[in-house]
Amino acid sequence: MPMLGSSASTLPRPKPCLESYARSQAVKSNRRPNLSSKSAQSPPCSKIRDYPLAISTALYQGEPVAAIVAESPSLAEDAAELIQVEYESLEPVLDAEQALEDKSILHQEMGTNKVWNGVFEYGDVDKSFQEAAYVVHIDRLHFHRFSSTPLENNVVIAEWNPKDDHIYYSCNNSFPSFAIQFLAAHLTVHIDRIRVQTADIGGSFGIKITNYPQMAVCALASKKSGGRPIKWVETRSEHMTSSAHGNERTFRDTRVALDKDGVITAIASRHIDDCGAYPRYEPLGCVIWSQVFPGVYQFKNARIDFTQAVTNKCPVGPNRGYSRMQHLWFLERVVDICAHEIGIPADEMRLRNYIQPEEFPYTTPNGCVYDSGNYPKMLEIAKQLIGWDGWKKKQAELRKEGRLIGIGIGTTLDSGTNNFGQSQIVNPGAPFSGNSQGANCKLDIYGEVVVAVGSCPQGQGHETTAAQVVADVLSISPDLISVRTGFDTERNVHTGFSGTYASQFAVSGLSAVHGAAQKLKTEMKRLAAFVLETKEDDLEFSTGAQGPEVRANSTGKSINYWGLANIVNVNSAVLPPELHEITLNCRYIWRAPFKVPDKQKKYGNLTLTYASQLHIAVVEVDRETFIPKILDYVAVDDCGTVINPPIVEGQVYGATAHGIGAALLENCVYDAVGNMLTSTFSDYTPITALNMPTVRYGHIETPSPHSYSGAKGMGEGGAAPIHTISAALQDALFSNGIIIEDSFNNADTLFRAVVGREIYQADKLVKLDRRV
Amino acid sequence: MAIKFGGEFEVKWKPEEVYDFLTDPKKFAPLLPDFQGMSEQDPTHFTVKVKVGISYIKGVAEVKMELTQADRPKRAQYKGSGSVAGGNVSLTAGFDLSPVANGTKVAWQGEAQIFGRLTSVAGGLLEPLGKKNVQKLIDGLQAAMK
Amino acid sequence: MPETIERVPIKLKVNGKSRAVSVEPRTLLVELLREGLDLTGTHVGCDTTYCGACTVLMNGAAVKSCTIYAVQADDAEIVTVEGLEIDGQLHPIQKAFGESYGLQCGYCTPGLLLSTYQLLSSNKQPNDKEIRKAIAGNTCRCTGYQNIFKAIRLAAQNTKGT
Repeated sequence: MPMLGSSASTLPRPKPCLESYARSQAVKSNRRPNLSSKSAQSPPCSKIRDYPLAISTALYQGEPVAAIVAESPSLAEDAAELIQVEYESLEPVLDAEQALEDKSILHQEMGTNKVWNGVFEYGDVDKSFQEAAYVVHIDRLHFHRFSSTPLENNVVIAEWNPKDDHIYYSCNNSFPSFAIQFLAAHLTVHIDRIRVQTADIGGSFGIKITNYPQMAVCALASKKSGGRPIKWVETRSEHMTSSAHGNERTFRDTRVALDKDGVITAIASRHIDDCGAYPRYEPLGCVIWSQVFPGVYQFKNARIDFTQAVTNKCPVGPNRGYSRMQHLWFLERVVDICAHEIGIPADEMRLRNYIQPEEFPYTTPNGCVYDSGNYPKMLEIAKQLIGWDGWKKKQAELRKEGRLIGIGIGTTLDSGTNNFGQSQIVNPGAPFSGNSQGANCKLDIYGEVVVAVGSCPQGQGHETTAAQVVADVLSISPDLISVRTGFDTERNVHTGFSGTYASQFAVSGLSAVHGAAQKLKTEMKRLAAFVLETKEDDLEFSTGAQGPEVRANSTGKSINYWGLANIVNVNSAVLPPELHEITLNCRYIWRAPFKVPDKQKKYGNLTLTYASQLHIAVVEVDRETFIPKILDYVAVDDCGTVINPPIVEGQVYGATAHGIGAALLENCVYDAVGNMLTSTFSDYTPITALNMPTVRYGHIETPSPHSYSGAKGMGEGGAAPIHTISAALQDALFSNGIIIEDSFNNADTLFRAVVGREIYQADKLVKLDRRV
Repeated sequence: MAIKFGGEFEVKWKPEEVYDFLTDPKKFAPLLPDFQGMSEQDPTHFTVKVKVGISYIKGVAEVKMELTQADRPKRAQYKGSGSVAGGNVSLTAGFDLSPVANGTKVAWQGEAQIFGRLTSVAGGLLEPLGKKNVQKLIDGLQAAMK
Repeated sequence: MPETIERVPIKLKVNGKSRAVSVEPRTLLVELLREGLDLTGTHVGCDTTYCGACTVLMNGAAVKSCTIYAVQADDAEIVTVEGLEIDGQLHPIQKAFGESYGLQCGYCTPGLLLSTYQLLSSNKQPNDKEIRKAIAGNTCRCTGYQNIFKAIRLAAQNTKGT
């Protein structure tokens, strides 16, 4: 077994390095099962051949076509230079709408570029449009492609033991229990023979969920090399071109019905999602967005025709805010554009359309249950924090000088702990539903409290909060709890849903930890009652002179954790048979209280908790350079009961930086023939300390009735800054006849809009049909 | 990314002579900038090796060429494709010949498609560099046909 | 590609310890530190001098070790994150990052600590603008920088006069 996560020189023999570049005979795998999500896919998209190395056609720039194994990365690079690949170029398809014309087909075996299509219709849409006082038409909106680009690239060490076909992985995959379900089938080994271990992970944001194709190549290379450990360290350019990007989405022919007060009564629209060359985690994104179907708004009638297509770009992965942020951005654009067309201020428009605090728990038109929230209150706090009236006055003054200042509001949801039953909406045969997480809590032989969870933390502080929860149950200090870090299949605390994704640790992870700790406490009580010759309700958990202990109140006698562990583990002759079932080693599986959604009606509760965020930004567009600059920024958060305030605040800041980066700086750009032009950080320009504004933070707590602690998952942030900055730019430029059509805006796009008049022209994009 | 180029020049040779020169790779290939060598597979297929370098990315490109149109003495067209560290290139280049008072007018046009890592690392440099090299080739042709 | 690659002997001081090694001319300083000297606290995030995860001190200056050849560090004095601790105790800058929640995944942290070290060694009380500028070459993808600013302010306070 190799040592973990360290450099080659510490090993008894150098670890060969794998350079993924191009096709090799060594790992020809075209007879193996696919790597795409078969269980979530139905024909024709399940026919796609998706292998870790391209077989005869490479479908996007950066797609691995061969693998080289060498003693060092530099030798592997030398070897890669010797590979000459002859490519015959095919007609590239880089836009999802164009892809749907099926003129150039990516996957011949699928016969079309359409991955999935479905209509989500609720209420009476046609009637709402007939009765509307206003109908607003928006021709096109577009959510751009970006990635949250964890700072640590993908890394895999694989060792395929030829003696027992046991595969060991030390890697940074962030959803290992999902990855092994593909890998076992693909590598044709028993799933129990794959051990995956993760340690500290240098960020994932969902992007590291889909690095299993590379994991497969490493295992096959190890097998080929007779079982030597193979290490693959992705380069940044490989990461940018061929790990995963977030989903790109185009919204066409949107029609919005409103009553005379500007209350939205119906929305009809056509959404086209671009999943890149291979639908790997997809087409789950075709339904995940409907967790937040109406966003934070009250409208009951809607028809969304949703289609997903493949294009010659990097496959997408579930990037932070996955599939929901695209939809929430769309809804915020709709609200702002309608408000402007009808002449209602942006804040007032929201207050008229928000779901009201007294309506929670609120059932959405598609059957999701929003647990709790108070959006008007968040707006009030955010307005106070930013100094709304002051900025409005200042804006009016500066506008007179010709300065382009905008104030924007973005309200968003961070839906957490999803019901995997929604996969059946995209594929009725999918064998998934519900959600679960495992944890183990034990007194080890010497009485240490040890906790293991099936999550896969990357800096979200799982170790801290898990220790807090166990400490609370046992009434001891968190410092006395040892939390096993990282993920390990051999700890036997994972379920098929274990990992870290979809804003859920506070609910699924901590519920599992809480359940395991309760189970342990129950056993400790039974044992202590026997030893101390008293009743269980006479016992108290505390810390005494000999460390943490259980004390009998009636007699004052106590036994410490060492004593309890000693009896069960190495002194068991003192135990009567009826206590033999006590192990002080308690595994607990938490299961979310979900039902299988109605596949035909596309109806059911898809997520357990709904954290919300409300941001306000003041943005100025420079009149000379058109560089957009944030002048002021506030973020108000509601994630129910807060378990650890600095951790929550840290997640809010982090998600805010991702959103601001995505809105203004970070864009995956492809040229007309499919070359990725932003394949290094120098071109992609992740947000830095110089362009990240100071964020003023506020919060409210509306405890969730759906989690034991009242907490809600909140790791993704709902991409609030993207909505907020689009809204602020819109406000700054409305009077110039500009509609912010795209989620990505930099000096170039704003210049082309305002001066060039090439894009974003309101008269071409938006029409108002006034019937009052 | 695509680089398009084109232009025209006049030489004193007759169209037939120009045509024969342009369709004989042994004659014109050595005029390619940084020519390293060539091999001929058959009268319409040959492979040339040229040295290419942009900033720190340096290497030898092997380009397979095919004479795809041969209409003596009016038009010749080549198609080619090849690879170099960090990228691939495919190109077409055509020559239309017409007689003029004291010689031949050569109208030429071409397009090169460049793929791969090379474009994102050195994208901005490729177009001027490509144009410079094409100009060198044309200058060489003109000089050879004087 | 040559058949054998000539190795160049170099001497350098790393975290106060003299080291003599021989390296390929193309070996980067970060490769020497990580692979040759087993100092894996120095990270690689981008390979193009943008992210600063590989920041180390070379003769007192914060440099990006992914863009320096090991041979350029001949006779140099290098400090990596492993060299920050004092008598087995975390350096005050490290403590400040921990107390301020100035890290999440921690991958960028070694580089940020060294950039902060350089800042505070020449400027005991940096203002916000100076702090931002000092870490402009250190990308953090988790924290949104806010708690890093706090950490650097706290570190400045704690190291005042030391």
